[in-house]
Amino acid sequence: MTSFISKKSLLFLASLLFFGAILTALPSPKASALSGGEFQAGRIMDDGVFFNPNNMSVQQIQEFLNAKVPVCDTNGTQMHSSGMTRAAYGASKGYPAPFICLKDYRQDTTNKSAEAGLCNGHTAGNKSAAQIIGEVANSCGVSPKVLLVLLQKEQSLVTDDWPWSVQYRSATGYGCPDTAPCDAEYYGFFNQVYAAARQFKVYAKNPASYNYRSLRDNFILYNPNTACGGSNIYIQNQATAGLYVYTPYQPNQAALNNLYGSGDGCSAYGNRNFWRMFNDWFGSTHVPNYSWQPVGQYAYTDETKTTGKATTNLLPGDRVYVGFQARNTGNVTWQRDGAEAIKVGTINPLDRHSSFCDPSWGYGCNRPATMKEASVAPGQIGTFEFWMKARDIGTHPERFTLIIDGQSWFPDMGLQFYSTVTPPTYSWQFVNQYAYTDETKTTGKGTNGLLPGDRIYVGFQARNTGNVTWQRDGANPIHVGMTQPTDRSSPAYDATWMGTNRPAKMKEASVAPGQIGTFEFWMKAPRNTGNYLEYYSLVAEGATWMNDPKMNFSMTIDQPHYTWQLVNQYAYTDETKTTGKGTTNLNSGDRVYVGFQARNTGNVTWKRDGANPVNVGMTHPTDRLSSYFDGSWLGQNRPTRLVEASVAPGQIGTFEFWMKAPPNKPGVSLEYFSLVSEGAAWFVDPQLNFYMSAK
Amino acid sequence: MKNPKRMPSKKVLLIALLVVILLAGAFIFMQSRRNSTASTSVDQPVEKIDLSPPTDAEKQEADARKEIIVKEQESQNQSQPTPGAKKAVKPIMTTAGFYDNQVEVSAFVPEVYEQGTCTLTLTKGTAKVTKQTAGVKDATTTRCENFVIPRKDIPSAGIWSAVVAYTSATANGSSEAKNVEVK
Repeated sequence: MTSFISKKSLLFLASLLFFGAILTALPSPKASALSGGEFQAGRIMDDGVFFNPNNMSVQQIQEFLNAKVPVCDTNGTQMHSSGMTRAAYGASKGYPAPFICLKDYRQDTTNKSAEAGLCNGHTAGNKSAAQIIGEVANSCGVSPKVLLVLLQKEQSLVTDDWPWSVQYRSATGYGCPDTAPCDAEYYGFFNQVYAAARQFKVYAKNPASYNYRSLRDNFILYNPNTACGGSNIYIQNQATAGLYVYTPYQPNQAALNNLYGSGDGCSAYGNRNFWRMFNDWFGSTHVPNYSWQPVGQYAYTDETKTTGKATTNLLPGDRVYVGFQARNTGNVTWQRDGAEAIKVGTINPLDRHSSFCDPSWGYGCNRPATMKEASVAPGQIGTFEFWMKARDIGTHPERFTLIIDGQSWFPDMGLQFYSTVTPPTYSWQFVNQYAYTDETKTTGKGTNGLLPGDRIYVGFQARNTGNVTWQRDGANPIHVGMTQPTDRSSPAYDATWMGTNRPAKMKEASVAPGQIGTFEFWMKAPRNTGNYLEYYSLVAEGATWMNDPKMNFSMTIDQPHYTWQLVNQYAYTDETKTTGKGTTNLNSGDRVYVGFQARNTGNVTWKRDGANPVNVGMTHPTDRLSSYFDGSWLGQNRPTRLVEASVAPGQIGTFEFWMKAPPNKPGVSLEYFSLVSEGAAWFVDPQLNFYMSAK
Repeated sequence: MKNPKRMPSKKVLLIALLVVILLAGAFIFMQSRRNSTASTSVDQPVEKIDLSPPTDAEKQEADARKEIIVKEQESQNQSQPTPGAKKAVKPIMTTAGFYDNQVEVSAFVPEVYEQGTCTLTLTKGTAKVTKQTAGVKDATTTRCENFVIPRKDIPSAGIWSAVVAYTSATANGSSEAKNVEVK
């Protein structure tokens, strides 16, 4: 029996531990309902809440209004406490149905000009109440939640399911003193919302001009009846000071003791209700010392911020200049410098080493940047900008928040620069190709029928179909390379090439993806005759060969043919060629000026100068020394050179020279001549001769 | 005869159950401890928007508002200013002090909503310093443009008594006095 009790006790103890652990693990129960004791007269609302225009979208405002009036009694069919229908009761007071609820309300708004430091103006239009609230909040930099609570506090418009027109007319109570009728100048829903929001910014812009001042003691009444008295309150921030300028009374203890009801004859409820309604609908009116809200973010090619750039499809090594703006929704002024300098910090995971770390990150790879502005007060906007350098291939959420090192991480507001880094791809597509006689590219030239040593200026254009911008210079320059097989030496190598396997570099400095690059170079016909198919592709030096679209230049190299045909021949007394002269019966030492014209019937262009000049040479036998040699000759076996600078195949060339009768050598002689391409070949000999006789 | 070392099967089951419960409790507890001490992540802010239907009190506020409107209309219809008589008002000094080498005083007039003239009088013995500003309509009150009197315009240091008077075509009156220590 004892043993059994002991077992039961043990079981009980274990169960106790089990449920105790569960209870400890469970979250603590929801905080108790709001009480008047939590109201701080000197800190009704923090600036970070009041001047935060981005905490509710127009859609969210509309959804909120819809929720607060599930069914609008538009026609006033419900019964009023007077025993009449609402429609009848309203009509009896001058406000007949239909009753338009705030969620359904629309009106034509008017244009408002922007005013520096106040509101950014308004564009007229037919707009819903939600649009008006959202747009005015955004324009004036005031929380839309504040405007919603103001509408409820002043006229119960948010929850009213049968509002009267007079409630819209003085919706925010602007121009409505407690002791006199409302000022007609500010009548109308849009006017009321805009005037109220603007006025709170006026208070903030000129705090020294208004009768409640932050950071000093202020005497605040409990009630418009001055006999009810008041107390000195140290106002802690501008939002609270503004609320008191707008509604210059604080709740007395009786009003706070009955937070959802009435106090006593000296109670005033405006600021109490404002605080209570905000808490009930939107949570605390206070913010942490350090909190923020992203306002906008951007990414550009560089610090000039002129050309936008996506953070996706980056290549390793790419840099993108990113930035974001953040509203200070906390209670502490942000500082750029000093021990409490605010910085951007990496999160997800916290304090991670970013794979986009750039050398410009002066505080380490977990601190991309500090603030650009020297200081940013609560409610104001700070700017943060930095370079991101792509490194690791893949998808990177790149999440950031703000931090004051050694003090506090700011809340994670979901800021991210979603980035993808893709492998570099180099590829190209053939566009066109061409061949010219020279770099001026004025005279086209075929690549067939070339002779050994001929040069031809060729080129092609290529579209960049990869994702990397081609660079002419730098780390990975784009060159033309020989292919089939890859990187071979070309027989068409020209001395102007970078190497026997690299004809040329790109002409443009850079060619972005989708753009067209140009490649031009000389080809020199090889010594050996035959057909050549020269394939080229592109290579990113140091990185990779690109795809090979089989771009080629076909060449045929012919055997050179040195032939000619006599056109005419002549002999004159002198170089003026005015008086003919026979070549017979010459006296010793007589000179006769002879010449002939020859058609180029071969395939080689004759050149007067250069490597293989075409000269007249003695034949029968070839290269013999002539006895009719003259001192003006090139040599005793070379009477003269070509008169013309060059003679293309099919054209006619001219050769003229003096012949001098030899002394003491009478007799008849047939002097044979032909042409010779010096250093290359003797021409086929057509047996040209001059019949000479000397006395 | 029973074997004294052999446990009955019921007892074995109970001990096994006990061990399981203890282990489960310890596991849940440790998990909760680990979560509660995981401070290496930043806070996720909670933006509250209450989308619940209106409370009964909120519904009643709408009807109460209309009663106020009706009463204000009736009161405005009934109240007729006495011809020739000025309304007695009592301006309220909200701040009065010596800041940055100058006296700064701000005030508003609760009982009226109009344009008027405000006059600050600083008194110390027989010495007096006065300054006049406009009474202007603000969002919901008539406030005096703030008074600023540089130290050089105040004859001596010490405790000065400040009073703000208001006058207009329809009202006049003075505030209670407040002491300002001039340094």
